[in-house]
Amino acid sequence: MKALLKILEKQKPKFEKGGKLQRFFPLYEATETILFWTNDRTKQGPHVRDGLDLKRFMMMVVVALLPAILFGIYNIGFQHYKAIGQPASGSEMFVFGLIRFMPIVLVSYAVGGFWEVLFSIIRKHEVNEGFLVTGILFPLTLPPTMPLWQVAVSISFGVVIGKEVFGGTGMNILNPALTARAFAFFAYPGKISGDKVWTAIDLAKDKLVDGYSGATPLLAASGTESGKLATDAMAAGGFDWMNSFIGLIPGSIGETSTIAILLGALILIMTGVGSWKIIFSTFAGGYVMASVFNLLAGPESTGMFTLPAYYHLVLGGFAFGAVFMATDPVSAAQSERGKWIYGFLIGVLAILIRTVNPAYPEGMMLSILFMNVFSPLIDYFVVQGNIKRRLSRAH
Amino acid sequence: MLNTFRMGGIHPPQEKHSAQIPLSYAKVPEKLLIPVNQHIGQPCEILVNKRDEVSRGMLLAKATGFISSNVHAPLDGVVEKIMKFPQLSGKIDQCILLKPKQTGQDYARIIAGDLTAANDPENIPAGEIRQRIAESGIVGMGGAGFPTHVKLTPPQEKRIDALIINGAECEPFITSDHRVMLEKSEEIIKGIRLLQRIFGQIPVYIGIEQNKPDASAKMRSAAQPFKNIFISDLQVKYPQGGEKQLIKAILKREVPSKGLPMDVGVIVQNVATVLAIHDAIYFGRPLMERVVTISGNIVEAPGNIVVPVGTAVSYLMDSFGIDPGRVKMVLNGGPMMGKTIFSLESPVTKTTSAILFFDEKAYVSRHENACIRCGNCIESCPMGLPVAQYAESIRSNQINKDDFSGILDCIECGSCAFSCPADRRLAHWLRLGKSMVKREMN
Repeated sequence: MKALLKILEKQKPKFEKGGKLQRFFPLYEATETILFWTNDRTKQGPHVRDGLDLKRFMMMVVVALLPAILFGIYNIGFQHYKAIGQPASGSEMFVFGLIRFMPIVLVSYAVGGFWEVLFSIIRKHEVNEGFLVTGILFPLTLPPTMPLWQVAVSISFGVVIGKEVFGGTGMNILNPALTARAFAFFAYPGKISGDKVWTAIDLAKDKLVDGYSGATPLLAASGTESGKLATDAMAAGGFDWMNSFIGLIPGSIGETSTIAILLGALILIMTGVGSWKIIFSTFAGGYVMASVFNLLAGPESTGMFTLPAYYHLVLGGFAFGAVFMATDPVSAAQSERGKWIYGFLIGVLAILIRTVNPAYPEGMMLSILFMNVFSPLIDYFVVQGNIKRRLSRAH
Repeated sequence: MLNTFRMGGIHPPQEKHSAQIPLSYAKVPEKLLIPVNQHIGQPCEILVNKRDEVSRGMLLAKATGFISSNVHAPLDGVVEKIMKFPQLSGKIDQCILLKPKQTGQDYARIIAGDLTAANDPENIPAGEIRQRIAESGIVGMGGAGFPTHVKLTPPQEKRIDALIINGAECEPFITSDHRVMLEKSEEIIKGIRLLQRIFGQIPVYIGIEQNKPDASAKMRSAAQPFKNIFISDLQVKYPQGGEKQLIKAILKREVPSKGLPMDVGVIVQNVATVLAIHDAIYFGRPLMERVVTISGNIVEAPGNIVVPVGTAVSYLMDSFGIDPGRVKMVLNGGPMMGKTIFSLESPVTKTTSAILFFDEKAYVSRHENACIRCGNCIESCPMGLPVAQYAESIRSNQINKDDFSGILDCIECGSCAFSCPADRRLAHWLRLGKSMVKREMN
């Protein structure tokens, strides 16, 4: 570490004002702060600061994602070997998954990182650690067979239009990872929606076992005919609540396993990085809305109405969105009461989109983006409400 | 279930290293630099001239109005000079340079010299208690320095039905109130009895945080004979020692926005102030010294020392064997609300509760990053202010007195900046905002 510090110190004059590479100072600064603490003292009180700074904040999210990432990698291999009907050991599955997953992540980091650094040099900002999170969140919402050029274009859109045009970290209205996901969804629907979500089939079309459709359980449920039970339709595809919860099902890389995501949620809540209020209220909102639809379900309504509430919460991107996307502090509501409202409405909207719009069973992404736009308004009304209540108490 | 305030609050590391070290007494220094204004309010009028001989307890500077406070000579000596000098607070103000006669003597012996009981302190009428407090130059010793006699004279229409004695001491490192409660519990209870005489026999609550069980037990046994003095054990949480938080914690009353404790019928006094009131009435002794906690990461033998007002920081460093070469930062007060000091020759005042010394290993200043809107500042604000939104408006110079008057409720505790992961200087932005709003109001 000492040698590394020496090398950095030696290079410093080049990057400082007047040096040859002064335009690239943000790059130097980023390297230095990622590796070392700065050496300055506090000048103004409060002098004690909480140990949780931005760097740890962002790293904690990546750590919390690890269970979902590892499970996702394993699941890629599991689904592949299941599709071609060939037995394989756990490590073989994992290695297969790793080979599919790593290029996507690398492209996401490299392309997104390029934009991040470019903008920080132009704007003379420092490179922000927040990108480490965006760069890994986005690939986890993709199917493992997403072409790499599409990954590159989508993450570019997410970082540039979703974040940098608004002024960089902290100024963005939308969650950049979700913006990238939304771009991919609308630009390349063939690759990311419908029964193509799981395209392990593409890899081995000639070797498929009979009857393997590759549909996700959510799609199976949404395809339920009127008057029939959604759970029966899922069971026909070989899905039940338990395997959806554990996550050995087709789906986007990081989104399938609710249990791995909940493990991440635990890490986020314990370290105080993710707001438990948002996570809890999102699940509550989803549960309430799904229960309402269950009550409304009749012979004329689509089969999706009958899907029990506790099924909704483990299917599709609901859990992943609630734990990792909705809790993105920049785009979420800030005030205490605002967080409850924000989370609850995400849950309600996600189920609403899933159930009422049969063409598009995955409502989580749109509902979060929608609430991202509304979160400043929620905060505004919460603050106004507080002021009114306090004034009324003063008289 | 222990009492605490509900909204916001944080848990900084406590670092109360000097909690178990008994009070010690300084040797009388070679010179004292006595600030003329050690209180909030109108400035004092200096009564002495250069080369005047003064004796311990003599008036040096006189209060010029009701909200003002006397300053007395802590030792016998000669006035050498009257000059302007930077104070611990950073303000440059008038000071009286005194050359004491008893240099080198133990200050404990000097205190023992004037412990001659005044006649019949138990039967002084209430009005006279108040007047003697005013004459003795007693100010709020928790840090604000508001003249105590003013606080004890609420307007007629405010009915006071409870008294709170503040022994919370929520700031990290500081233990001066803790030691005072342990070693002077009888005196504090006597002081409380004096206050009860002023307000009639109203209940008195002594708020003590749970991290001082010994002080709590000691005070409880001292308060045993009196049925309307209660000890309220509090959860450890910063800023519990804030007046409004303490009232909320103990009595569950909420002081209205821009209001004072007396608006909810409460008066809050610090334990050290109560001790000073006791000394003034029982011994006829004005406020001339205080307990200062000396601690910090380079202080090998931290302690709580009784020093005469006007003792220089450099003198305390010598008596605690602190190597000036290692000192990189000196704080007046705790690390949450304390300020870095300007000069090591600045004197201790009536409101100095601690002087802390640090080297370069403590308190790394991190880069100020972009706000990620996590809302930690809002969650931790004990006054429930939308800190981040205020700070953004202040930065972009878009604040006005109508929409932002709530900012005046900020108690500047620094909880927001403590909890900010992006290390934004939120407490500073809010301080700036407060002065902007105040200026617009005038």
